Amino acid sequence: MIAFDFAYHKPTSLQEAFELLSEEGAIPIMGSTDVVVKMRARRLRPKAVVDLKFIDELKFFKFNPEEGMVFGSAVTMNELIEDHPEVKEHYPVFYQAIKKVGAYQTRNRATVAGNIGNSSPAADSVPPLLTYNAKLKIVSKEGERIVELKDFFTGPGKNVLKQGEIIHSIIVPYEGKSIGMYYKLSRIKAVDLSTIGVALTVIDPEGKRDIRIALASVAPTPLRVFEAEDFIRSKELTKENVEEFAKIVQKNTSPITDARGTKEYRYEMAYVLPIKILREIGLYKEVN
Amino acid sequence: MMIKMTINGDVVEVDVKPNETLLDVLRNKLYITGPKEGCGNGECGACTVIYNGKPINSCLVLAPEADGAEILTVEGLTKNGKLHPIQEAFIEENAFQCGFCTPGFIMSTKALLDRKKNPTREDIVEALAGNLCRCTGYQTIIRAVEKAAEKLGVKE
Repeated sequence: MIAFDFAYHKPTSLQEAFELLSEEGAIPIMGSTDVVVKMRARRLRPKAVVDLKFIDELKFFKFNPEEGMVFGSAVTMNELIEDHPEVKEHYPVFYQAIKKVGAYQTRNRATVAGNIGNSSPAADSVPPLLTYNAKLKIVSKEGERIVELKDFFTGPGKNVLKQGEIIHSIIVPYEGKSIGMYYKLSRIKAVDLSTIGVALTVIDPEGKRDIRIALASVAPTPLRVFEAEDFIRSKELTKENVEEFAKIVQKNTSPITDARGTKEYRYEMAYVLPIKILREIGLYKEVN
Repeated sequence: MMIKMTINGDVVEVDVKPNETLLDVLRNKLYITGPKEGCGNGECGACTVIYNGKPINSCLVLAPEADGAEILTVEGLTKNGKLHPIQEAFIEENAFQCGFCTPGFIMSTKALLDRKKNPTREDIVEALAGNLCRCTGYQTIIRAVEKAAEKLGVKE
């Protein structure tokens, strides 16, 4: 039971959704796994919720090497990873991160678009998407625009979406084979927000070996560390270089202390985890 | 607003408000009390029901959304007073003490065994990770799921 009244709308077309969302106090919802929790806690008090999951146009998935992966905002996390083997095959770090969101029940409802729209610094699906250079197609009554995911977030719970705009789909370019890991530290293994999450993706590991890194829960928004990527590009993965790489990652974070961990712990892990991942994926062989 | 759902095979019409969750409606309006409210935040899994074929937390579904949905709760597993093999397995393996979490665990198990006939231990742990039990520890529950899979396999 939610302790205040609001209207519920279930549009079946984008046009209908745009009309409903133009009303003041109306918010879009998808799986409602974050929104209902916030409404119960009265941290969010919309006048109306506009449930977008019944809009067929938002429920599609396609992949081809030229365009990459494109999927609609109403595709649930479990649909993505269970019905589309391309996700695991071509975007392994994203796949791993999705499996670490909530629990099986959560992932039957939750969507990647919802995770992005909620704009939590702890959003697990976001760091891997940042490393894969994902873009968002945003639509409204006025038209559409494409926003790079790295430019989408403006602060905790804040983003560049304007009233009446919705995330239509997520576009993830395909840049060739990738390996990597999403490493999530949390108090319990499932159904917990990340204390810190690190996505390290290596595009074309046997060729140009392009290392990319993005983190959750260490800054006001999910954070990709281009400076560290630039440093390690075409350098050998020696002890000295890898440690410097991790130091640059760490230096770019600005963690805080909260119920899930202290800023000191997060800061330390922002150094430890990049090295650990490089070792676990077999690119870095030094023992200490 | 009036919504129509199919719950455990029966078509049910009920008047709901947007600020009620599916769990509220099941328990307080339809007196289907198998699903429980533990945390109310999608963290404990005590409210798990099978919704259009998939296990979900009914505490996070706004009631009006469920119009047209097909829902299975633990009450729907028992046929003519005879327990479902999953329920039998939970009893045989002592997979509960207070029982508050059990309907949720059983529905997560049902959904798992519907999609995987012979789950590995890893599959079981993953499928049940969203269900918390504060009494038994999880070993007996995992054994019960393994036993249920055997029972259902033998039957077919």
